[in-house]
Amino acid sequence: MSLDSQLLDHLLFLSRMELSENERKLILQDFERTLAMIDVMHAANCDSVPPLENPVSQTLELRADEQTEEVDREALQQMAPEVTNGLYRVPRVI
Amino acid sequence: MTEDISASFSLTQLSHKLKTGELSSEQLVTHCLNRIDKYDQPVNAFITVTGEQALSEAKQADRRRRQGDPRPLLGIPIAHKDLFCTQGTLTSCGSRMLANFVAPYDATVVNRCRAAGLISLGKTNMDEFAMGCSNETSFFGPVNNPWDMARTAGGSSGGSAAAVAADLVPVATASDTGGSIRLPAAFCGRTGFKPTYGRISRYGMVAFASSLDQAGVIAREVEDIAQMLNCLVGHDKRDSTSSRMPWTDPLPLMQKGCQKMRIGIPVALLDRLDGDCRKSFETAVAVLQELDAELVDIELPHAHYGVAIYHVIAPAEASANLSRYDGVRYGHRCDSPKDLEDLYIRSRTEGFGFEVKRRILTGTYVLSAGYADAYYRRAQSIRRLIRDDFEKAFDRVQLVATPTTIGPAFKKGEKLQDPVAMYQQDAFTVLANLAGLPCISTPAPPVAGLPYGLHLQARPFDEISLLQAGHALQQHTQWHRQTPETAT
Repeated sequence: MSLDSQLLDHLLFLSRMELSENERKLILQDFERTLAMIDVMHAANCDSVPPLENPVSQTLELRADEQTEEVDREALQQMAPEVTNGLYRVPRVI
Repeated sequence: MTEDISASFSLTQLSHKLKTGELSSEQLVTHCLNRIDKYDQPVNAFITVTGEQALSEAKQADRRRRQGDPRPLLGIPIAHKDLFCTQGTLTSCGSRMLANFVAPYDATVVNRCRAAGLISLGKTNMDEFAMGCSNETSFFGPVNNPWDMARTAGGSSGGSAAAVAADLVPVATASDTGGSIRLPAAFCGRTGFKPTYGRISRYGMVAFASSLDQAGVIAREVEDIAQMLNCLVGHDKRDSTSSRMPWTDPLPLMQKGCQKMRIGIPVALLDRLDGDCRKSFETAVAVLQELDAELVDIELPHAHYGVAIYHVIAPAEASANLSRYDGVRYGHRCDSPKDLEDLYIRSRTEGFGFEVKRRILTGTYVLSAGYADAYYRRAQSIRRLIRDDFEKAFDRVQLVATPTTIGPAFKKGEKLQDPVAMYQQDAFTVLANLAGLPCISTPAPPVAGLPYGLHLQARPFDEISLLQAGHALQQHTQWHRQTPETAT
């Protein structure tokens, strides 16, 4: 596979980022090399091998759906860029 | 006094001196802060130093000890990698995105250190969001290797490794997603330990790649690591991946050494080493053999896919984890956004550095429609093959030995323009993350006057074998006791 300018724009849209012209050039150039490195994995015979999501064989624990702790709303919102009346403030949406 | 303290920078020795009153915590903390003042400017190991708070805690620790508090680590200084949340202190993750982030809570690792009486001196520099192996992607500048300031300290826990190497602090926490504890420990001549996936809670540790990330420690000696594991290991209900596997204090078992241990060597992986590195590795494993370990040739037939699939799985998970940085609830926000979309895009564009953007784009690519099966799913299948290779190997041997890195610390800037060459640095270390194995890097004979590391891996939850073999090696060698001239 390869990365062209159109696909890069699509990936940038999905990841909500922009690149400078110089960064675009570098990404397009490096991506080819990175993909070439990654593409060696296509030589592996693994079609019938199930994916491994968790490296250690243990079942993740589920907890009871009960509230055990109070969230300190004020403390959490102290690190927000902008808060109004206990709500996160963003530019007008509608 | 100053030189005496530096010469005995092992936790066991410090603990003994504090207990007998030969040294006070206040003296020890003052000593470390003075060294940070003197040496950290060129090394750049710390992002934040919390000197005043540390001195106040040291005085409290001295009072408690006089009152009979028996905790062995009480009053000993530590530094935390700047991705562990610390209530009231900056947690930047080496990024502009979090350059103003003060967490409202402590990570479990930080909490447990505090509960053991350890005193935090501050937060250590790191590659941005732990993405890098040279500590050159930090928003706060690179960490310089105390052995040669023109060289990288390794990454991503470069600040923790350099701080311990320069004797600025006796021990530091760190994290490891593909080698980020072991590689800088090897480059800086110190001991780095990544436990089994799930052994230490990751609650409050900023996420990079959640199926690979693991918290751990860098210190001078294996015995220090064992003491720290006693403090850090244990189930945490706040981390759903946290293990309930029992933990036994390794300290009384350390003297067993590596007698009769079978240590596997995947000889095919050693082909890429140059002569000096190979000689260093062979010298280190020969010591283990002299100590009655048996060396056995083994095969890991899928190991050569390790770096490739790591650079599918890790960016994929990173692209999902880093989607939380949107400039709304915390982290960097751009000035005067014209609408919500503009707020998201400019905040992320300004907040993330180039390497982080590159990995988010790679992750978005391998997860996007049409590519997810060909890349992400396939990589996870090969990951199973790699884990199965290790399982088969562990039927025959207790440990697997390789060098930690393909060479000693390289010069800063040398690989920045070639990401693939940079990624290859993790060739020996990524396998343990993919398979969830515990592992250690302990100093081997220097290569070209620079530190080099021996890397041992064990089956999941068999940390004790690693500690026993590493301790035996360190009891019979001096490589871990070397200190860089720049810090003396």
